[in-house]
Amino acid sequence: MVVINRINLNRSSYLAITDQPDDPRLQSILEELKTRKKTFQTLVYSQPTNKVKLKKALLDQTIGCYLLIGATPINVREIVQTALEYHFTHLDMFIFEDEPSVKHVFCGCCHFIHDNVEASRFVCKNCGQLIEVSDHFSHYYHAVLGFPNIQ
Amino acid sequence: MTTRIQDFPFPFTQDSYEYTNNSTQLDPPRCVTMTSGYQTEIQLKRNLIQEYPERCYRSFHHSIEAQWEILKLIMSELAFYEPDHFSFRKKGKEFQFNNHILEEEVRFTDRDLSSVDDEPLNLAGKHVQEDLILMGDRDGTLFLDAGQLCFPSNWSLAFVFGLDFKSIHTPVPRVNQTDFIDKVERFIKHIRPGMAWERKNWSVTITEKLDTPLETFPEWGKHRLEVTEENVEELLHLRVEVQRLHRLPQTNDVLFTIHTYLLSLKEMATKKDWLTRFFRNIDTLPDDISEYKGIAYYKNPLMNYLEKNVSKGWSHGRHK
Repeated sequence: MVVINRINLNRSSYLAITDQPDDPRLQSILEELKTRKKTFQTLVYSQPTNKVKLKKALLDQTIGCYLLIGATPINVREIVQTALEYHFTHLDMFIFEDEPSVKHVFCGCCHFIHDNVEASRFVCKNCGQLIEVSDHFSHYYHAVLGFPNIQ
Repeated sequence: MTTRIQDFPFPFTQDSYEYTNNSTQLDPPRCVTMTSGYQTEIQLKRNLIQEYPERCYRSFHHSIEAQWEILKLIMSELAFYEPDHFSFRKKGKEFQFNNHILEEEVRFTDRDLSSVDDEPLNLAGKHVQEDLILMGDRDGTLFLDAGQLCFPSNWSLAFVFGLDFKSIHTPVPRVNQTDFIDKVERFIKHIRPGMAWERKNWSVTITEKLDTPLETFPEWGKHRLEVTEENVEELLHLRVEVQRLHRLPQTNDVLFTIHTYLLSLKEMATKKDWLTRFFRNIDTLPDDISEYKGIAYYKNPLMNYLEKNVSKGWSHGRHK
């Protein structure tokens, strides 16, 4: 119920996009939507074959549609970026949270994204720059900013 | 690349630092300004865009309509206010823009992407000194839908692309403790079509580089650690961003333009009243703002320099 409280349940329709269709968190939300007699669809997403299906599904939605996204970090990124391109905003979507101690970090120097980082400071494996993990979050990358450290 | 002192928009109007939205309405509502550094800065912008396209330009496809509006707005404005340097003609859906300074002609068909080599915002930005940011206005929020950014002060267009107004400003001190940023966003959302507002945002930077993006922070940021009382006058520059907000009448989106100016401390010292006011503002700068603006690294040598150089004409001591 912690998750359901953070989802906008006042939308006209819902599209669940997931690469983990059996995720119990998603299932419980879909049950709740059923109870509330809300319209919803589910798109099972796997890279890269479903990108075309994703675009079509996004295009087919009516105004007010709300996205429920549950996937691996790479897939979340692709789904969110496609949705933003199709005029959705982060206010139109809910992303199932990762473990609170884990972050995805965007290197401020080379733009490489490190998934599942637990350290507060580390060396970018792409450019070698020492970076500090900040709290500045980008919905577009589903990652926080890694700020280059010069000291 | 410093600005001639007569072109420099000195930002301080008070003798102490104040955390405020210092916007003023512009009449006429101009988006861009030309200075004597036009050719040099345009060449620098174009070089950066060519060399670092992913860093300097981002857009969503759904921003194209607003981009066309911006292109025509800027070209019209340039031709109207700088007729010796630019002309802009329309015949049906065909447009012709001439940049007489660069001896360039641009022809395009309205809203036909196949008629231009760049997206419209990127094309517009190649003829003005300003960085151009397009904020889409929807769902009660402003979103960064497109931008051409060549001269950022330690931020990354790539990272903030697609973010809402509040998320963009997460690193700004006090944003989360007060409703300041909500007020600023409300203020922008109430700008009426055709109206433009301007504010001056200042910081201090090392060397005379206009392009100080986050991506190259390790290259230029390290100089912050090299400032001493001996070299502070040469190294430090007051950086002022003249930021303008313009509500686009057709798409209702917001064009945010940023014109960046640099003035060396050495040159500022030739105007005692400016140096004194700068001193008083630095002296009363809260620590968190000082940290955010990057001044904390060299505040001591800077303050010592300022104290020595303004003390002749000022009898009061330091604030703290």
